[in-house]
Amino acid sequence: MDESKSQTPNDDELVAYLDGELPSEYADKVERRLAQDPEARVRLQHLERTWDALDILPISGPTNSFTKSTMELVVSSIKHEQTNRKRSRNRIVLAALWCLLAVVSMIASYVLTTFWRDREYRAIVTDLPVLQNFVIYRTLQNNLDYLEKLNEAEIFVNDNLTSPYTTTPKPTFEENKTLMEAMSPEQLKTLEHRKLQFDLLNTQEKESYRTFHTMLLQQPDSRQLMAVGESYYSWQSELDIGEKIELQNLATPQEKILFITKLRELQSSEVDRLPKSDFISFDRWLKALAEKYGEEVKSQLAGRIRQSSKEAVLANNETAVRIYLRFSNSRELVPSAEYQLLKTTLSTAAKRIMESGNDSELNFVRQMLARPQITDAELQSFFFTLPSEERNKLDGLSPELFKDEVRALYLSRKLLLPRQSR
Amino acid sequence: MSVTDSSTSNTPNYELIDPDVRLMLEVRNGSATAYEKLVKKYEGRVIGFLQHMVSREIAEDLAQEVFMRVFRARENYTAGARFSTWLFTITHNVASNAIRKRSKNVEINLNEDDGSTDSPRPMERLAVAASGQMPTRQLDKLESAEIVRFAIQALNERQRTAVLLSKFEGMSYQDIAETMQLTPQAVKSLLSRARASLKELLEPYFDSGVLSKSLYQNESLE
Repeated sequence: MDESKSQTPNDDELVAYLDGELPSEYADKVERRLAQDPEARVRLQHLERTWDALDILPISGPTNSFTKSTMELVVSSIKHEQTNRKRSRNRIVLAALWCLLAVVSMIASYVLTTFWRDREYRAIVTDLPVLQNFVIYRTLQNNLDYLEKLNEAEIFVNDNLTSPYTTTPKPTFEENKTLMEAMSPEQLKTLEHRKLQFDLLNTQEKESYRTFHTMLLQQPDSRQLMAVGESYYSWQSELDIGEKIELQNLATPQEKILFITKLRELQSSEVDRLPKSDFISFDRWLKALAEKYGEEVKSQLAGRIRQSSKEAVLANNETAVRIYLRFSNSRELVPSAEYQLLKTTLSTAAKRIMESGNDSELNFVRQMLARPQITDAELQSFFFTLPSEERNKLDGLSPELFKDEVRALYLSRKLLLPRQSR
Repeated sequence: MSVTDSSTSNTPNYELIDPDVRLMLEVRNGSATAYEKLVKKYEGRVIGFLQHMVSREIAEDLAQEVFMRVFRARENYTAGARFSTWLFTITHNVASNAIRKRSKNVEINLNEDDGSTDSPRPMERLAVAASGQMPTRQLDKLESAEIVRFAIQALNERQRTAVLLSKFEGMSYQDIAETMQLTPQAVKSLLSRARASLKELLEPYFDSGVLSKSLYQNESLE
């Protein structure tokens, strides 16, 4: 290839050279080549001429109003922008409000759902600790002094506390709810029943239970007191109606404790070791006595017992006679001949007790009456063994009469073994 | 052989070297006065560019569109180039959009054309005049400027843009490259081809007063 040809600058280089876009060393090279190459110089001149020719291009400037109209457009644009921003801000505010509304709705629905879900607990849960121990507290008549005296007397010993016990006077709703969720349906039913009883109390009475509960838990030996209370309740619930009434009528804790001590002595007396035939004979004697003297006994008791206890005591002749024999001077209405009659039906051992000293006949009768009562569960089981005819008859009776009747049947049909002293 | 490539050097601080960048930063800060100054300074150049890129009739409307875009972009403006480079990037985009829209319309109009020759195209008349079939006095009335304008319009859009930016805005290859989103090397080739085309189109006229055939054939492209 011809060297001079190869060195001829091409149009790209010439244009870049004309435009001053070549680095100086390249520009020098191009200039040197142009000096040696007339043809390249002609090409350069033509390129330059056509480029210069562009200078005559007509260019009409802007109209006079261009700047003004552009500025007006800008002002209009600013207004438009402001309107859009305002709309956008309004949309954001609206969206935020919707979000807030959604959040509030969610919270509200959560609260309502929880409230609705917990409604069955809510009624009970507030006084749950009180309701759980309601029957014990009722037996103690909310008397902390009495409970402390019972504890000091050491009559009731209980190492196995089964009642709900907590040192927290006011557990939280969730704690109480958890407790309730763990309960069996029977326990929940019992709780609901207690709630109904509790609701019948007036505000002051309700508050006295709550106060008693709080005070009890504040005692350093609260657990021990609670155990004593539980034992006391258990013992007291097996007393017959007359004994319960007598106990309630006593004014001071000291008197009550004295009565309880005596009663427990009677309950653990030697009559428990007598043959079972004596119990049947005694029960028959008692029934006969009730038939003979029942009405008279009731009329005498009517003036001596509290109004609230009358219905229970006076509803049944046998109950009335039992109470009368236990707590009155029975000689007033029941003549000695009746005791002699009883004696003829008893075993030698029983006769010996009846003849052991002064008032021994009456004491024997009282000991027999103070025997531990048959439990409701036992009577219940026995009841279901009865023929349906008899059951239907018993079902129509009041709770107290029902218990006495079933017990009488139980004694006459089963040979009751003397129970061990508690 | 390569053209000067300043992209390898560190980016200069345009705020210091370009007063128009400083004005634009004032616009960003809310100065209407600064904006007005920029409009006044550049309106003629932008309109001139658009006249040759698109048409005289809509050049002002498009220029307003350019300045509105500048205004709308003020909040996000950063001094990353000379102001003129940034402004002509916008102008180039506006012009390209207008050409694209017009091309679609032309296509539609051509399809609807019934072939009437009642109003012959100006370049055809010019060709007739330049070929000596028209009286000299009529040819005299055709200004050389119109011939050059037709030559410019005979270039394709990219060549025309590069030529206008280089010739009338005095932009370096680097600035043209930034404006057109090309490399400086591509701009060099583009300008070389554009100038070769112009030479080919205008040389016959300058030499003998006869128009290049391709000049009036190309008119139909516009």
